[in-house]
Amino acid sequence: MTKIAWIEDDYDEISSLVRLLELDGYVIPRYRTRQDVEKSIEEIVSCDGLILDIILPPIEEGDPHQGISILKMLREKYNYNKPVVVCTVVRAPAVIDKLRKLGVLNGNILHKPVRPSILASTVKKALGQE
Amino acid sequence: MSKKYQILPSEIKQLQEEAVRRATESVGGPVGLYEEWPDEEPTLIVTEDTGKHGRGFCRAIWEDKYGKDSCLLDHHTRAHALSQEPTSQPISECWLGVHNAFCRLKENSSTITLLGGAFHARELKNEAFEKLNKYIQSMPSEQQERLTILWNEIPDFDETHVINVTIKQLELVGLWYSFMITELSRFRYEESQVSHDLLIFIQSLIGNIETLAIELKRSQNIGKKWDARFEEILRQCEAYSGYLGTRLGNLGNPEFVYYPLRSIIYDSVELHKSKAKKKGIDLFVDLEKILNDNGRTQIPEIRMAKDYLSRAFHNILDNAIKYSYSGTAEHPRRVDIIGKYLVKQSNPGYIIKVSNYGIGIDEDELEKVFEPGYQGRLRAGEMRPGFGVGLSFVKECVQLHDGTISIESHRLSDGHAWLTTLNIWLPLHGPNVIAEATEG
Repeated sequence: MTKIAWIEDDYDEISSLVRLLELDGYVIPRYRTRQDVEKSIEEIVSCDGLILDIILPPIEEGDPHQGISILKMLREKYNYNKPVVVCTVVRAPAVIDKLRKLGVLNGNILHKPVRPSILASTVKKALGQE
Repeated sequence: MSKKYQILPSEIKQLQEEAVRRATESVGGPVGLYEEWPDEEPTLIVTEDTGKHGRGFCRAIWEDKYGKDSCLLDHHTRAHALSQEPTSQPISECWLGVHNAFCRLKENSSTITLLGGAFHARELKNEAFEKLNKYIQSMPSEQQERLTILWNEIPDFDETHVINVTIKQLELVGLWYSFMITELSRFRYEESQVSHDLLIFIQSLIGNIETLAIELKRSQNIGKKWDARFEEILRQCEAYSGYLGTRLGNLGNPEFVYYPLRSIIYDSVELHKSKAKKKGIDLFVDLEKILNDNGRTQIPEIRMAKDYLSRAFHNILDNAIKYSYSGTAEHPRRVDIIGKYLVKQSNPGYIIKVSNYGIGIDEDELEKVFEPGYQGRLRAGEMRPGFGVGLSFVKECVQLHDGTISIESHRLSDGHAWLTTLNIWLPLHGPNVIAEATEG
């Protein structure tokens, strides 16, 4: 059973995004905020991969992209090296550059709205299952 | 979300310039607005048109390049110093012994210092004159006399007047500026929130539609007709969200890459198809293919800032359809998008002509349509919808690519509609090609 953690504050509204993965037998635990992530960090780290949104609550002055801080924390504190697929509305080159510096591959950065089939194939490819 | 992240740099600059203009009018002398954001170089905006509102003395000094440059440097140095170390003394003396008032506002993340108003602080005037004396020493006597007279014409204020009037005027402008930044950032945040919520809605639609299509396919055969329908809905959603994405405020720094021009144009056409159809307008596209380096003929790839050009074409088609008359059986209407290879000054490029049949533009308005905020003169019975921002952005975008843009409009022989054509020429290899080649 493959488990992919999904960090996304709008997961209720866009649950269909991961439906194809679920139909194919993937288990997708979900986390909405930074606090949720911090409470469940061990569970997230133990998953086989991560789908990550960038703009997450709390939206703080000076740090609107909590997703990037979370990834940085995972890399630095937990030595996290599992596949990461970022799925975000943000297109600003400076932000995308930060993701690349945190080891997210170009092909694993998807911009919403994205088709579920594309997310599914990107995740599977990142896991080496396609 | 941080105020600064919400507002475009160009919008901040416009507000700063307006604040400086207002302050100059209030206090009757050149004013500098100095703003410092964390982790950024501070900006200084100073009255440029001191001729209109400044004192006669300041105007005379600015006639000379050395004088003007020295004034600006002096302003910058003093404003920076005042922003770093608060002082109880509200008066600052310039390099030529003229006194300025200043005020300092701390707004959440930035510090704003306003420095300006040309006057003599009575108590300090005699001492201040020494600075002028030193400057005019080497000048011809006529010039010395002229500047001395102008210097003495600057009004004398006592400290009470400075505090109760001049500084209050500066503070009012400072408060106006900071209010505008807050309101604009709140508006932008809400605007981007609305767009973000719409994008999430579209994501939900796309997710549900594709999942439904795939689940149906897996459980039974669905005909090609349904498959095509689903595919069309998905493409419309994606085209609209692409348009929405480029409307989300700041496009960021432009990055130039080779990208197929046909994708930019056809994506835009796809997006505007249904709007055009409602008005009975056909969108006709004819793009010339050219021979590429691989020996194939195709519509060229152009080195471009894709998001900028994408938004520009959305604006162009939006305008073309908006200002087009509706098509009828008697007068079918079209918006034509014609592209051709065109070399300009030895630079290979591509010209795109977008034409419509509609309201038209008078000859004396033709250049003005590219000005920000310009909405055009009303003709009897005609309405000009919109806010006048579309074509000014298009012009900026074309210039960013080192391209050219022009517009023509003339009445047709039927006496009613006007044929208006927007001509955009873009170099195939993008801007600064010659500079790069030289540096290489």
